[in-house]
Amino acid sequence: MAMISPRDAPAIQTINVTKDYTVGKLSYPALRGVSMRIEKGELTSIIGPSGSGKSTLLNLIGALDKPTSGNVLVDGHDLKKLSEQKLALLRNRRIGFIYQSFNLISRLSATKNVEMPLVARGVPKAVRRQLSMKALKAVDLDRMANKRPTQLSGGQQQRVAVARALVTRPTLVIGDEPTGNLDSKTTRELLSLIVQMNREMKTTFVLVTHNPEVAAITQRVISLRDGMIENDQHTKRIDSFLS
Amino acid sequence: MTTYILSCVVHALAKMKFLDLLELSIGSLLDRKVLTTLTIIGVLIGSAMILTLEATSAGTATGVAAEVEKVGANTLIVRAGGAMFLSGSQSSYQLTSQDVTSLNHLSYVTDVIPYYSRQVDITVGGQTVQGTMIGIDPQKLTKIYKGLALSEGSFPSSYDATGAAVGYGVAYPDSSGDQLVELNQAVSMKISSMGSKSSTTLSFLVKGILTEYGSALFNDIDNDVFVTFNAAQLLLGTPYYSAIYVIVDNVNDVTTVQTAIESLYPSNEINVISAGSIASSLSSVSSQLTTTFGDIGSVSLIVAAVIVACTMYMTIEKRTREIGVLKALGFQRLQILMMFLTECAVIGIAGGVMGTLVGIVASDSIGGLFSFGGPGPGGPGGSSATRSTVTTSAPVFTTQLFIISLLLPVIVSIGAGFYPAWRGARMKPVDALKYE
Repeated sequence: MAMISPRDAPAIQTINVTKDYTVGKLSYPALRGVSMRIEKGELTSIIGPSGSGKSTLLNLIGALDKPTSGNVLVDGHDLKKLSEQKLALLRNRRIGFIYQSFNLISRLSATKNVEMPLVARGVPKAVRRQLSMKALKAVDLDRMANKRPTQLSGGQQQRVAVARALVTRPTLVIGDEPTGNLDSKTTRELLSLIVQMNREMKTTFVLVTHNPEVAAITQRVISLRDGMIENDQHTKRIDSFLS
Repeated sequence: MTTYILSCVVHALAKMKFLDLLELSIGSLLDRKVLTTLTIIGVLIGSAMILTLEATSAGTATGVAAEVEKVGANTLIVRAGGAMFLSGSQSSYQLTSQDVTSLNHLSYVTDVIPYYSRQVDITVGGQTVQGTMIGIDPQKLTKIYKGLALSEGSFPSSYDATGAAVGYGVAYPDSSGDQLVELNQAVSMKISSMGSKSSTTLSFLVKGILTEYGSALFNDIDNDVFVTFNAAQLLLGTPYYSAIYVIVDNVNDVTTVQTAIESLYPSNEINVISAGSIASSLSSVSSQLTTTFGDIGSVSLIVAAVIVACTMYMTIEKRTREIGVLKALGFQRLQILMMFLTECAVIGIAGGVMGTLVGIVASDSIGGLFSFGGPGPGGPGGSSATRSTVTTSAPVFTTQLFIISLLLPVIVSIGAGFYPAWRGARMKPVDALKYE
């Protein structure tokens, strides 16, 4: 099942997106008419106070959820028109995820965790192994390939998660508070890695964060408040922050 | 619609290699070893129960049928007293030579063979064992017991007062195959009088040794010693027979003859049983037993199904977040469903295989619990002075039974785990990822 995108399509485009959550008989709006466009290769952060709709927006652009109204286009594909099967395919082929709590499968080794997106795709074992080792090497964890997550530090686990997110060479990587459980030194290491991947692989990164250090490495900061975009500005990345 | 669903399944599965699916499933089962082991044990018990009970009841049915067939469907047994298996049912009536004469005059009767039967102590070569003495015309033994043959020697003649033919178990009493009794060896038989301490002992010369035969209509032929009718009468000191065999010329006339015999006597003076009616009754009992055992086995599998369902519910709930992660990584709903169902199938296969092995061992061990027995051929005058003979049969294993004991646990496991697996696979990724 091929997922062909128009060449000039942005990485992400949302058109007047709303998302309402229903709790019992009550409905409350998490997003109210969010429209934005993120180009391919951008390194963008989304910031805002708790309850501003950051994670909701992330779930929508990650094809994990559907909007109540409006359109979400990822790599030119209107998610509203895609079936469950095609959404899963999109996530597998085009989107990588990095979570605050790493979300690695504890019974699998680092290399097997990284291989999981390839397993879903039916990639042969030998090829999978090769690709996962390459991804682990890129995050400097090839020596830890056979370790389980419980045998790795927080920073190492997050690196494994980054390797897993990048093993399929996605066009978009979404990070939901990727540094939330890391100390400052490890945070810097992870952010360096993200910047490096963004430069080398031209992968689009969208990072939801409370952490100003994270926002500082991005070229664009979108602020949300009460389900709407409050501010959207391009910034000069503070590369020196990482050294 | 069916084609569409099948094509979705094939497409989803084709994406994911079967070996990867198996590896993931086994890996997750091994990650929770205790729970997996306990679940497999539950399935194992169900499978073992089905195999054991069905094989044992089939074996019993086969064994009993074989026993009854040895006597022949055209043979009637006339005994003094009420119904054969009612304990304490004794009549004062005694069978004598007059009864033999009366029975001989009935239509369709080709032979009337009275006999004595009594439990005795058999002493040979300094060793004493317990056995049963049957006093009967030895020349007519093969008329009653189909296929009975001699391995050595010959049957004593009808009037040989000192000759005896011994059963295989008397000549070869233990499993080592050492022969205790040989031809022309003297054996003495001691009979204790009922109700007193006195006893009578007579010696006999072994004229013939029978081949291994087993039991026939609850009479353990292998542990019997056959002497002539007159010799038994002398040893027992009574003219009253234990029972009388009546051979009917045609199996179709058995009922007619049975009715005729019963009409000769007031009720409860005698009871007449035919091998055919015993076979029919036992077949009915055996059939009911098979059904009951099948029900018990089914209940045990239902319990196994509940255990599997509980395990899968708990496991899938615990792995809700993992389901969310897998979906985020691009796993299809069907792939996740197949992963869980493969876990169920592995549990079913493991439980089925081990249950089958346990069932084979258990069937041999508990065969004795489901044996059929009768009160013995009866002592003189219709008394139950002989021990009850108990028939145990080897379990019967059929291909069909093995297929059931191997496949049914798999089907039950998959069936039991389907709903929790389906629920888990249908979870929205965003909800699953939020699960704590």
